[in-house]
Amino acid sequence: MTRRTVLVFVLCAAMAVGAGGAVNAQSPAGSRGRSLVIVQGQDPQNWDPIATFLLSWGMVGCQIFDGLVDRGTDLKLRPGLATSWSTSDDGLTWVFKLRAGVTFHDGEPFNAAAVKFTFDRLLGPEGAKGPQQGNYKSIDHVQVVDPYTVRMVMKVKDPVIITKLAGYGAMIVPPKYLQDHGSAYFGANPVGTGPFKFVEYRKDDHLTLAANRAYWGGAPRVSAVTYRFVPEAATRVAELQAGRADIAQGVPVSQASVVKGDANLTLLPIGSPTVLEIRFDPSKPPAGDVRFRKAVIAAIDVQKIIDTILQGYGHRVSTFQSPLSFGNDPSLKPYLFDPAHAKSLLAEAGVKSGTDVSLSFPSNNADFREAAQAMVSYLGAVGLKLTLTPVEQVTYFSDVLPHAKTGPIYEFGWGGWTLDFDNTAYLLYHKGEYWNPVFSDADVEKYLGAERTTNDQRTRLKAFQSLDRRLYDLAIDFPLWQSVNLWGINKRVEGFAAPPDDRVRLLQVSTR
Amino acid sequence: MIRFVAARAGGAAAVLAAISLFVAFGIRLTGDPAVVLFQGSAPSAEDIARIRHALGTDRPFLAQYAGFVAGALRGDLGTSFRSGLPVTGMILERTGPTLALGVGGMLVALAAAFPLGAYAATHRNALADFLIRVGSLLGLSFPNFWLAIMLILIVAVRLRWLPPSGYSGPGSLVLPCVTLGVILASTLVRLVRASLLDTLGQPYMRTARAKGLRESRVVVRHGLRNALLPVVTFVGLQFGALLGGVVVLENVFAWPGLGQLALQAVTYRDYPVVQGVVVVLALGVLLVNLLVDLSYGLLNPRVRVGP
Amino acid sequence: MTAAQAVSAPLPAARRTRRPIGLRLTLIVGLGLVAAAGLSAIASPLLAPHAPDAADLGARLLPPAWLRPSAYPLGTDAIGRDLLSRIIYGARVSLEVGVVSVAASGIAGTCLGLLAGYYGGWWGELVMRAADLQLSFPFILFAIVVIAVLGPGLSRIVLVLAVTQWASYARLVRSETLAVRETDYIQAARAIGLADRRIIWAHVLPNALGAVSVLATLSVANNILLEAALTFLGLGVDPSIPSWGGMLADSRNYIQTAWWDSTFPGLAIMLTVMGFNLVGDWLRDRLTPETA
Repeated sequence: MTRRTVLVFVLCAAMAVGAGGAVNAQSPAGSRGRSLVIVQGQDPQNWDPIATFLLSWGMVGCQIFDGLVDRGTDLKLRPGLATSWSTSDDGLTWVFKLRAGVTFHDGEPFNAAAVKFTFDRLLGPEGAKGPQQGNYKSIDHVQVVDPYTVRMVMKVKDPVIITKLAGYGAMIVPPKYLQDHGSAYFGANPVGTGPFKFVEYRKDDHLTLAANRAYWGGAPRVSAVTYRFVPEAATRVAELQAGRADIAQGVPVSQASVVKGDANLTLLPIGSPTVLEIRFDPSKPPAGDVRFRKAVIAAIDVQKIIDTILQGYGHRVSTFQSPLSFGNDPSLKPYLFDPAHAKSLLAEAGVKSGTDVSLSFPSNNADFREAAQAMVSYLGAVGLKLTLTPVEQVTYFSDVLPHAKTGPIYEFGWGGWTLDFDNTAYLLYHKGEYWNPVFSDADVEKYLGAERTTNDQRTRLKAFQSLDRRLYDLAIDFPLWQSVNLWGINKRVEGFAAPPDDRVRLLQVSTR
Repeated sequence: MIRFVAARAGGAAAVLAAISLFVAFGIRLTGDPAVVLFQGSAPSAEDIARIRHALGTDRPFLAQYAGFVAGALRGDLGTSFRSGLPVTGMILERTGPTLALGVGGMLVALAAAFPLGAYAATHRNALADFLIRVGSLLGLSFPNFWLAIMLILIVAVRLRWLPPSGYSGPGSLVLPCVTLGVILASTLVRLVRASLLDTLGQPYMRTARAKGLRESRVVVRHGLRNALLPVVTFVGLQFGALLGGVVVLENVFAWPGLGQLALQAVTYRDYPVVQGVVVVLALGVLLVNLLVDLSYGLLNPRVRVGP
Repeated sequence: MTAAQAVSAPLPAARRTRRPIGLRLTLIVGLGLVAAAGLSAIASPLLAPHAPDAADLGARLLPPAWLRPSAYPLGTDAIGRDLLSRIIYGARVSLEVGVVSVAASGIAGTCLGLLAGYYGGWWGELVMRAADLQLSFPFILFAIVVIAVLGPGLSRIVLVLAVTQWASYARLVRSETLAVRETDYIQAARAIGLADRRIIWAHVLPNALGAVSVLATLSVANNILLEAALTFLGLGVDPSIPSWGGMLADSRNYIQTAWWDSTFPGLAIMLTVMGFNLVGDWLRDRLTPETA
């Protein structure tokens, strides 16, 4: 009997092997010619500019759409669909001169009516269904002056409105296309004026764009771009190694050496505006005691964590802002690592050895997850028992943080992308703000008030620096590092500049 | 029989109602989709109220649930909060990839399990049997994501035989299906072996042998055919579990199936999609369960079906 | 989830045949492996050369000592902790996740299945519909909902596993019970007026135990792996407390640069899984009556 059974087995095995061998799916990077494949972690699921806050939208959206204003990889503002703009003395009216001769991908002309349509939609009932509207509440309405001039009338003065016009919600959309097809169709089949036009989209799989040869800023140098959505970082790196992807977003530090070690690949680190810190919730003992907070801070060697776990991909910060931020006080140095001091502070504060302290953090941040485990060891050395509470990230940001459901210490990350401390400081330290359900301090309120009531930059800077000093002394948070984003690039790609704000620019990118 | 099926259909309807109520209520305990939309920014109370109103989540729970049920009975599972598209269409779009993965994985498992299980059964307690049984445990010992990543690294990165991930053409099916197949095969090999051992001892097998048939013929013609029945039952039962259980594999292989749809929907608290996927999956599982229960009755006349 | 449901189909009973060396070897090897895992769980502080959470950032990802001599026999992980010590301590969490959840779901499911199968009627119907409900709810979604509502933690994971698996046992035991209920000897036992409790306890239950023990041993393995899957999806527990599944999930980015980091926890899972299953094989052979 065995002969027959063996035969069956061999046949099956041969079938299995044959199935593998028959499919020759090898697709080395070179065979793609001038088309580009980018792997990114997330699919925003809806390409309508008014519907999203996700960075994954921005990575793609700025290929399809243009705003009146454009922000480049150097974070400087420059003309977009508007060639110039001016404001009235009271700052309540803006006039934009529009670029002539631009058409949407479907052939519709771009003009003042399209701009008016875009803002009517953003500020009207359609925009009310999405999260972006709130960002543009300072705008009252937009008027058509002539076919290539619009006037924007403000409700209140908004010093950062021009920056916001480079943002997601203010991307100019095609009026006729939207009226014909409706928002739901538009969200899955987007049309804009950008350097690439929509070809095909399969959710959670891929989005294909083709070069817009008629782009007002010049034709792109690649012929097509395919975005593939690959949630698992290990798989993204594998796609890069296998030569099937040219650019990979979100390479984890733990895979940096894999990319660096591959002869075909380059690792591009770029400092992001995101700063990471540990915050204390003073309402949860023992975090109400400043000596406890300072003891935790002194017990952890952040520089060592950056040098080892982050492999240097992180910049130490001393306050909760990047060194470039307006309001940073360069005279403040990072807190010192001093475990002996930490022990004596804990003894002073009467915190018993072996006290349990819980640290909450979002579970998707692989780098912080490792850093937190090192902190367990550091705090253990001064007699604190740190337990880690990883929380699913959306629950963390939408429920745990704003409702103060964390442990006495918790992780907090913040992207201060306006590079002015005002936004961060107000939302994080002003009592009762969304991100600050617990902490309050009279001096902090005083400095925040002083900063907001003046337009004089020198007075503002002084107020910020007093605020920095006060927060530093209160040790209400423990600033860790400014994050560095890692991109993996196939060496055949030329002219790619990793963007600090994740808004990839592909106009100048070419392939070898 | 008809009464039995009718009773079961009634039972299934009750189960579906309970599941839809449970999922609709449960998912609403996990967080507010209006807040989730504002990731990383600081929404004001009015912003959140505005979105809640637009999504309809400001209505009382029972009103929302009644709306869902009324729509579902007409085949309309609502509109996704994230994409703004009809949920029914989104689910249909994802069914193909998930079925391809499930069916492919099952075929790989069957192709491996039958020869190995048969060989082990016919060589009971020999070294080969021991090795096959122990070997089959290997598939039960690795988490699916680990096996998936290893296969990607070896077959796609080192050998470059197949694409590492994605859903594009027949080549992309191989790695996900093999991963799933290896995991399923571990159980299946043991099942085929046990089932065949049972059959081989039956009187009709002795008769067949007494007729002077060759042993291989006995095993293949009579043994395997009869051993097939419990295996088919298993395959049927397993399919329900499969559809809901490929979440991790779809995540690793960037597979645009129901598992990823469900995972994303839960992550973003896209209530209509979560409800839709759970109800559709449950419907599938209940249907298969009914078929399996019916086949019990056919397989073993001693079993009385129904109440 | 797959393996748990895998065996809820009726398993044909293996016949009692000759019991050669192979079978005893199965038991010895199986018991040996389970005992080793149990011992590491109980006596971890005595066995482990280092504290499981003592990190030395200067000694990250060191290879095993036989490749490059160091104080760490199996090398270190990404935080610079001793891999061997973490594997020894990891037995605690992994066995707790595996064994406690299986015990809870197995006992509950078996009791419900016995009652549903033996008495049938509306009660049996209710139990089976509840089982349908449980089996048709996708496991991962259930886990996400429970963990989002109750918060993360080891006890939550054990709870999720126990709650989602009772139904497999109930279905399995019910089908076994149905088959046995109509046999001549049960009919006879009823006819002579034996109490139901006694019939169930002495005649029905032993019949079902063979299949239950196989399902249970497979589920121990499966639950250890499910814990890994939950960690993979970001629903896991405190990563500084070692668990084999968690270690495997957290080491996936180092597969290419530090093979030991995932290989040794994987080996620990494999040997333990094998141990439980070999014991299960042996149990099934012992417990399954000749007629079934």
